[in-house]
Amino acid sequence: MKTIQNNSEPFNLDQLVEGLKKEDYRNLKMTHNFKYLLFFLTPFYLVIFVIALVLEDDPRRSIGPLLFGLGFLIFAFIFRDLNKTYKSVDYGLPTTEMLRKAAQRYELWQNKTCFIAIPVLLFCFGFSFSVAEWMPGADFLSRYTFAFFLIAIVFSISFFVGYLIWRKRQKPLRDRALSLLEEIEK
Amino acid sequence: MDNTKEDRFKQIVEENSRRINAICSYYSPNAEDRKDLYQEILVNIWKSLDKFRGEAAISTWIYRIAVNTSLSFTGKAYKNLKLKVDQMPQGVNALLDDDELEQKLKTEQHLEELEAQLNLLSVIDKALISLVLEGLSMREIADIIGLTEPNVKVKIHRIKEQLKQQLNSLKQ
Repeated sequence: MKTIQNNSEPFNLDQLVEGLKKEDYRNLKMTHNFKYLLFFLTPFYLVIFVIALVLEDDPRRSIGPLLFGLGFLIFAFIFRDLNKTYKSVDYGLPTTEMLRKAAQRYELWQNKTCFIAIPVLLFCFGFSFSVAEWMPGADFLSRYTFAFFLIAIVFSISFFVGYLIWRKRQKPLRDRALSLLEEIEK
Repeated sequence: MDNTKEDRFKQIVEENSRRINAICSYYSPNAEDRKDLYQEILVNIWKSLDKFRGEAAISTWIYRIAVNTSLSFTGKAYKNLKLKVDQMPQGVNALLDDDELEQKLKTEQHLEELEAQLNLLSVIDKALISLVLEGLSMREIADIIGLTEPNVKVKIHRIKEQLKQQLNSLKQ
């Protein structure tokens, strides 16, 4: 067992390294599983799209799976990018640079946030096309509009919950990083 | 996970444990907080190790991680950073550049006042002072914090002047 002296107390380095390696492995596995799930869902919906295109009389029925497939594909790339950003956190940078990057990372509205709107809209349209098919009565446009607003409300609630989480957890970190940066540079 | 990273990490930690301990001592007067901060710094060394390309000296890199972790440390240590005069290896003189004042402070047991004044400084000023007390050059401090050397000189000069003024006014 390797120990080093931490002020007056001995510190078990081997135990810490074991813990760190396990955490790295857990994170890697979780990231891979999520990535594989997203890359699996894309061809799955694209296959459904082709089947629907061939078998269904009404081509509108194939639009839903196509939009879902595209949504998952874009989401997979966004997730890959977010994962890269998370991995690039570097405490070995000069303090000002680290604080600047931290403030950017914890910003609510970033270019990446806008990109997330693309798959979300694709899911909204895809869901609306799929659900409208199965709703009784009224014309297609009314059913489609109703389904679209329904899913848009669900996504809006999700965004609001996400905003509340950001305000509680990430905003204080961003504000702290910005105030420290301002103090260093004044 | 490759053993090379593990070996490299252990070697770096063993070779720099005094530096890490010193920063922890400046920032956390409480033994339990100090241990948490020490562990947090080690975790960040591990996380940043793959990105270390050797552009900076290893000691500079270690100080950067220690200072950055201390500044962003999520525990109560952040707002209540306490610099302890008795843990300063370079002595009070490194701070005040004044042998006479140092002697007066020691003989008149006014070290507590110096400690109190130090702890009134802002978080960033404390970070700068902790590096001065480690005996680092202005160039090294500038590399760690990410400011220009003249900027660091001005800041440290200002802090020292402020400390001297306050201590002198207390003694009058």
